[in-house]
Amino acid sequence: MKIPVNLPKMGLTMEEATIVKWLKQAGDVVNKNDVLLEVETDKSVLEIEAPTAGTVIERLFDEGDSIKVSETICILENGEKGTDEKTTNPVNVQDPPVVQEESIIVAATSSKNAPMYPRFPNKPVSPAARRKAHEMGLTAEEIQSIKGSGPRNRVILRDITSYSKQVNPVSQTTNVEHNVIDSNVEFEKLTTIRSLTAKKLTESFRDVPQFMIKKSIDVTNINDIKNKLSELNIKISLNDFIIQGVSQAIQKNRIVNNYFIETENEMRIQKNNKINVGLAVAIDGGLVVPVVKDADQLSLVDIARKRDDLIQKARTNRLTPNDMNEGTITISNLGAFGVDEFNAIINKPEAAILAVGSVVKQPVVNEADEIVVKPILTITASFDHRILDGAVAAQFMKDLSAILESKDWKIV
Amino acid sequence: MTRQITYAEAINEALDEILREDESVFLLGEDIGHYGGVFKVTKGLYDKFGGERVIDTPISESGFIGLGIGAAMTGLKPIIEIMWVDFTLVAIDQILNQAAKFSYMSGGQTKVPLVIRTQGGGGRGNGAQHSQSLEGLFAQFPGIKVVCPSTPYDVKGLLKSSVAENGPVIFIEHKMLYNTKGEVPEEDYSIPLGKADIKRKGSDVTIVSLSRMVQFSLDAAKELEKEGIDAEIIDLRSLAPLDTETVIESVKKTNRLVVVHEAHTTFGWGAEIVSQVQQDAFDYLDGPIIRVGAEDVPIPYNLELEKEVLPQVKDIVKAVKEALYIEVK
Repeated sequence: MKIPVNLPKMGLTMEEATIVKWLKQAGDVVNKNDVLLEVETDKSVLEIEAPTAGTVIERLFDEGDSIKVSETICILENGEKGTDEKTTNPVNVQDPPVVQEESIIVAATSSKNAPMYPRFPNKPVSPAARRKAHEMGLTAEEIQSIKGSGPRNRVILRDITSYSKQVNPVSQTTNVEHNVIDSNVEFEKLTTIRSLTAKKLTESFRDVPQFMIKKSIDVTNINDIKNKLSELNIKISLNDFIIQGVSQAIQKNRIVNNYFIETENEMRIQKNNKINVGLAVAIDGGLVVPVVKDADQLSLVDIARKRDDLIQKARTNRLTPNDMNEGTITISNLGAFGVDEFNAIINKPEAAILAVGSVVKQPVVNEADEIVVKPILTITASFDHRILDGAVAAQFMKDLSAILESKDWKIV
Repeated sequence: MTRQITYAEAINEALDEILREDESVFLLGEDIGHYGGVFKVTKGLYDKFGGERVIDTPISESGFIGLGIGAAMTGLKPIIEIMWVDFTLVAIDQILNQAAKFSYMSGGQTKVPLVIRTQGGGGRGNGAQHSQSLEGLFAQFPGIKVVCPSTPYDVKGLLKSSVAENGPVIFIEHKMLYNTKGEVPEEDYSIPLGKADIKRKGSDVTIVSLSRMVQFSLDAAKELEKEGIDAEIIDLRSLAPLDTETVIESVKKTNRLVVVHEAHTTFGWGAEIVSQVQQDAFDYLDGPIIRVGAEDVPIPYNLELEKEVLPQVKDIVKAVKEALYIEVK
């Protein structure tokens, strides 16, 4: 029996993936769960395993090809007698690790040449609406968010088309030819991660009214604690202090932890209970934001361990979607590059992002009106003005500054 | 403006022209000669063409259809009138076991260029044995074409093509359409079999029907228009050959479908349309397909009861609203 292996949906926003490497050739005999190939998707590299033992009889894509979710990547023959390909239920390998409720089942169809559109088990969606959503590239998450106007809240065509008018008001036409300077210019296709970053940040820059607040922070105490711990062979980085400090400042200013959600016909605030701090990490070919979850519950040692683990995974492209989702605030630290200060673009739908510069020794006038030299860190935070206003943001920055300048830390 | 004539006059004109043009054509049926047919369709033809070409028969449907089949196989082109489609049932062996199969069973050595004209449907209070819509029954059998015209223009053009078909055709007129008027050009024309006609363009819902139900659907479309619903009306014109392509194309545009026929709903030909559409245009459907047909009881004599049993304009309006989720069951 021929078993088609399809690209599973492995993250909320995953729409497609690029084949990084084939590990099996046509004709190779494989065991169940053998890794067939690696794909790059949603900012990480993932392995696609054989759903059953058998022989690889056909590879339908080459390395570098883009595949859409639920598209067949290759075909296995398991040697069993059975119905032919057309009536076989395609097998989705690897259950999505993150979101069960949004998992997608690919419907088997007997109709000739009919493409297969994703079904949504707990969400009634009419066939025409499913086709339209697929054509428009809507994600399962987006479809779940649509309230159906048909019987029993079935999502029907008009719900999908009216959704599109809301979400895509800007046409995406850019004429490449206008940008050609000479005939020797080379073009490069964006990697999945690059195009995802581009899409997300463009949306944020276009849709989010952002304002910035800058604060200089004296990190004398942090440096003292760091050095003392270092003597005890405990390595805590400045980032770990900032992660803990931010999560505590959020506890005092919960509004900074909110999301701004836009659906087809309403805007709303999502009040997040958990405080999950994302850390922007530069890797080859782009930017990833692994998330330290429940940061407010963690000690500096826990945070350091967690942060170190995530950064290692990021550098080796092994982050799972689970490592990168559910962030409620993001920190971007360019201090290592000697940057004094900078602005960052909000990671939608979060309310704020902190741009952290380097620690510079500066002359400071102290309370006794003396000029003293202090290690000063400049943090510039960008806020979504739709969620909060200047005064709230200023209070948050004031609290953050006080926490970072204090001696009061939860170390272990 | 083109002249307006009735459906019965259009058939009469077609028969007149065919008899004049083709000497191998002759008419056969009960009371079609002197009397001119119960619906006056063959009026005047006996006087024009004589008793050898317009032949009155005894009440023996099985016998004279058999006669017609033999004549057709030996080079003539009989056009037989069966007074009521209900009476084809006494001759069903001749029609479906003989006429429909000879060409196949002889390996194409013989053809049966026979047209059986008849009329069906209700609306006159003629009772259960004189009011049926049996087109779906014939369409179930390969080897015979099934044509059900809805307008004077169509009935003339389709009858011309049916006679030219060189194979058996059952041509089912509708008793309530004989006196309806419509534009029919003076000049000669024909309409090919198997091409559905879009009687009204629309964008919100597709209504598929034939025969008398086409006019009912058009009337329903007028009602719906007042509420801002733009219905597309497709007249299939024949069940065999069946033009599913036109239906599918329309459904791809409107995403909604209502099938209307006067035949009983259960096992009616509407189910065949539904089946083909869901198979070939599944991903274009935005809601369930609704069927409108006669209630599953024999057609009553009583005119008021008959109206209850047969589909009416209001039933089509209601079905369309259901298909568009305006009225949800």
